[in-house]
Amino acid sequence: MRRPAAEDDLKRRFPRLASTRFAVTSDDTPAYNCLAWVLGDQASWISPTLFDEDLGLYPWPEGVPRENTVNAWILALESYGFTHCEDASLEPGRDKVAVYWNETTQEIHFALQLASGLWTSKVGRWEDINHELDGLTGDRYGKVIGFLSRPAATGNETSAKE
Amino acid sequence: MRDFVQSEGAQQALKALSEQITRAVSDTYVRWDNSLLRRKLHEAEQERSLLEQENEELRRALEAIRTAGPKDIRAEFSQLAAQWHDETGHMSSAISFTQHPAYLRIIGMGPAVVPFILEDLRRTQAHWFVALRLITGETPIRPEDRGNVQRLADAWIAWGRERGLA
Repeated sequence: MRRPAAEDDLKRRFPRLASTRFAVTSDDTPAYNCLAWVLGDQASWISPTLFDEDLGLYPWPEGVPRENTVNAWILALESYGFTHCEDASLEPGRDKVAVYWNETTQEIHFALQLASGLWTSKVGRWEDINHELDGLTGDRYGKVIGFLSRPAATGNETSAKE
Repeated sequence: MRDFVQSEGAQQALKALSEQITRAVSDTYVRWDNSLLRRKLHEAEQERSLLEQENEELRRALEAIRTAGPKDIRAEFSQLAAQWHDETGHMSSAISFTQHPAYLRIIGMGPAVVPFILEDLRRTQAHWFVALRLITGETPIRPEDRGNVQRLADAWIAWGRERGLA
């Protein structure tokens, strides 16, 4: 179910969305997070967790440190076949992911590039959105610190949205 | 005089007098006893009245604790949960949203908060799994359900139902 006034709420929390192209494309759901979304997985919340070995709650790639550091998150993305790339330019045949990191709050976010050059994101437990790269920068997700890409997955549900 | 004292009439008179004195003394004792009993009874009634009053006050206090306690827990949980939902909804890292101060305070509320967590879980499917695990010590989830929020939520709600908590 979509949150009441989800678009306005997201603009309030991410003020740059208000002055850039932006659209809500799904209802809110806690079923998957931004990492799962860029991997085309809408059934998993992929995250390190404290005590995760004991709790067994969330999947996390084998061998990647279970910590909330930008290095651990990028290693996790690399474990799915992504490699670093130079910039946000469109590369036909490749899925490109932008990495947002807020050094102060230690918040991570990933967005997947669409064929149009816009980006698609799963905003935490809230909605999927299409947006410009700068739309999510700010107090919550910090700034874009880099890009990774991999050969486009066949039947990638995120890419198919546009 | 001696003859008079020893006469049958005098003996009878003395006997009658003696019996009269005995009855008078006995009556006095009975009256004293009755008076004492009445005082004791009065004191006992006063004590009973005080005890009943104290009992009623205690009953009201217990009732107030019984009814007001959960309301306070519910109110505190609702406030903390709303704060947590609002301030962590954009987060992707389970480490981040399970270390949020409101989440940690909810864990600190202990087993009494479990019914309210399960209620919120049923409504929002939010990530209360770490809190539930740490509060209860239970792990009602299957390894194959790892990362599947719907199945994790269903498993915990079923666990709560079995215990009358959800």
